[in-house]
Amino acid sequence: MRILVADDAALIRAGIIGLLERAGHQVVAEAADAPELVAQCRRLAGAEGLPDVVITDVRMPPSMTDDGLRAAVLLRETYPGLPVVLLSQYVAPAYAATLFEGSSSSGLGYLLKERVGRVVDFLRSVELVAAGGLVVDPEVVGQLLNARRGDPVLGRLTPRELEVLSLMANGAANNQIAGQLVISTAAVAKHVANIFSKLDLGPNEDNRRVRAILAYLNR
Amino acid sequence: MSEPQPLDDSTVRSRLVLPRNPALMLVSPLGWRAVLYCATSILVGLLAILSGVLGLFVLPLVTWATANAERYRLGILGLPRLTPLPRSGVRHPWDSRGFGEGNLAVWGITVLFGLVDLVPGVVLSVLVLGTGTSLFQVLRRWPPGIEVAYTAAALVAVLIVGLYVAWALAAAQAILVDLQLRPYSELSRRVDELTESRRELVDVFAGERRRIERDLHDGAQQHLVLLSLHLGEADYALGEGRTDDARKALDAAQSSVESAMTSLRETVRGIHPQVLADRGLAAAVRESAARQPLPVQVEVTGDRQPSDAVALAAYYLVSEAFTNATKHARCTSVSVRLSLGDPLEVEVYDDGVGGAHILPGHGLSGLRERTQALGGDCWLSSPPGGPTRLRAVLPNPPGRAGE
Repeated sequence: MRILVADDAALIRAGIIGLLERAGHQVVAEAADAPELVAQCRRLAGAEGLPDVVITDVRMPPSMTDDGLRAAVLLRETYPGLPVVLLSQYVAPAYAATLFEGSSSSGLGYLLKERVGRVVDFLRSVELVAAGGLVVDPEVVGQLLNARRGDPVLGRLTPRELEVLSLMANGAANNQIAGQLVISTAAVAKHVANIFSKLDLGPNEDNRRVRAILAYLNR
Repeated sequence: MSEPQPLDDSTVRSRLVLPRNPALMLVSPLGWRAVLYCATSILVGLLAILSGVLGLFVLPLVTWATANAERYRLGILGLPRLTPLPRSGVRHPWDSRGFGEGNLAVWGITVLFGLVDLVPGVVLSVLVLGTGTSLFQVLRRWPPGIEVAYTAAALVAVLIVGLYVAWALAAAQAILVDLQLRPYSELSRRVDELTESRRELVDVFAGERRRIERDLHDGAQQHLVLLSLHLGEADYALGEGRTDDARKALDAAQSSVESAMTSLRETVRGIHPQVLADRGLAAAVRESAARQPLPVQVEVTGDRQPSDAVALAAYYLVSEAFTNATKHARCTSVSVRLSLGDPLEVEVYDDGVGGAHILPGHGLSGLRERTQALGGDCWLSSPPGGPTRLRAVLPNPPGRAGE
């Protein structure tokens, strides 16, 4: 895959780039702040084509707040469907909400920065997002869920179905969910079907998995 | 607010002293100010009686308003206006608390002096107008006779007597009003000052937390993320049987941990340097100087140990000055002069390019607020082209060390 990496800490940027390259990916550009990220993306779009996925830190210069996030939102407005993985030093559901609101809902990831240490999971998340999937850090999911206790839509789900949904939000496939919850794949499939019907996602709805996760997160 | 501070008794009195020579009375600003003061006294006094009679039921409001008018009227005599009090206690116009804080007494004084001033005011005005008119008439006759001199002398005499009378009445009233109102104004001013300094301290506190958060984010947290990344990579490499790569990743992990520790130590030192608590300000400044990439000369005089708060403020000032000098000033040497007396004085000098400012919300501004909250002050002199000199003075009374 062709990847763009943006992080203001040179050491971490180098670490992530090394990791991706050893895993067989190609880092086509890197950026140390938000304006550079946008500029690099424009340059790539004009020359060899957009990257397959953008990995960026949330907190970057110039203002050292959520510049990376705002750059990501801007990029997804300019290039709809551009896959972006946001890395954040701490959990802020508000960031996730901003990210998932304004854009078409696929090809997004929001992960805590230290997840890069779980190399296999991290690489899998990046690939999932590049393929149009949705990956949200379990921490963020937990906080969002906590903030939405008593929600009428989520209230229809059983605790088990919520658990399955939270694993789906983390990008897990049915067989992985089955492994984690120690239940059969068929049982997971049943839970997933229940979730879809309880969230009013009919069988003809495309990309139901992503929609279910979004419904779960902020709609 | 740059309200002038109320003066002490002797200064108020000294501002009301007249020139020795009666002839100078005619050109003394104080005499004419006194005339103006007395004229307004009559006006305000009559208004005070009138509104007191008409608005008997809102007398507290009237006395409160009168007192405020009197505070401002002191300015006519060249005395500093007294800080007006907020109507904090007074809930409605007939709330008897409006009488408090010297207001009722001042209303009485105003009424009394309004009436008293009226008599000499009228008499003297008539005399001045009379002699003035006759002087005007004798001047019109030509050639002028000796009576011109008489009339002029009479006018001058009346004017001088009038100025003395006005001065005596004005000074008496001003001193009485001042005696009544100043204690409360003083209190009000102190409250304003305390509120302001408390707000500033909260700002300083918030700024400090932001700085610590930033230090942790840019320092330890980054290294820990990197550590996690290297460990993950080692695990990944081992899983694929690449032992050499795994060992390399573990080495990198080791140095990440060490960097995280170093960075944490730096942050902790920034919060409260251990050496400051253990060895005192002079040792802490010397240690900080030794850590700078530039040669720093430290000169310490005196040996009165400051309180913890003062020591910390002085230490932060020095550290901030070092940081600015080494980061921005492009200087070749820095020197620190620390004088441990009462007050404690600290001065940091560098020969760099200058042009430094105290910007609101930045390091130096927070430190200045902290210094001022401790009763001291700090100054920065940094003309473009240099040199830069940061100087601070902090109160350091004896017997408060380690407080």
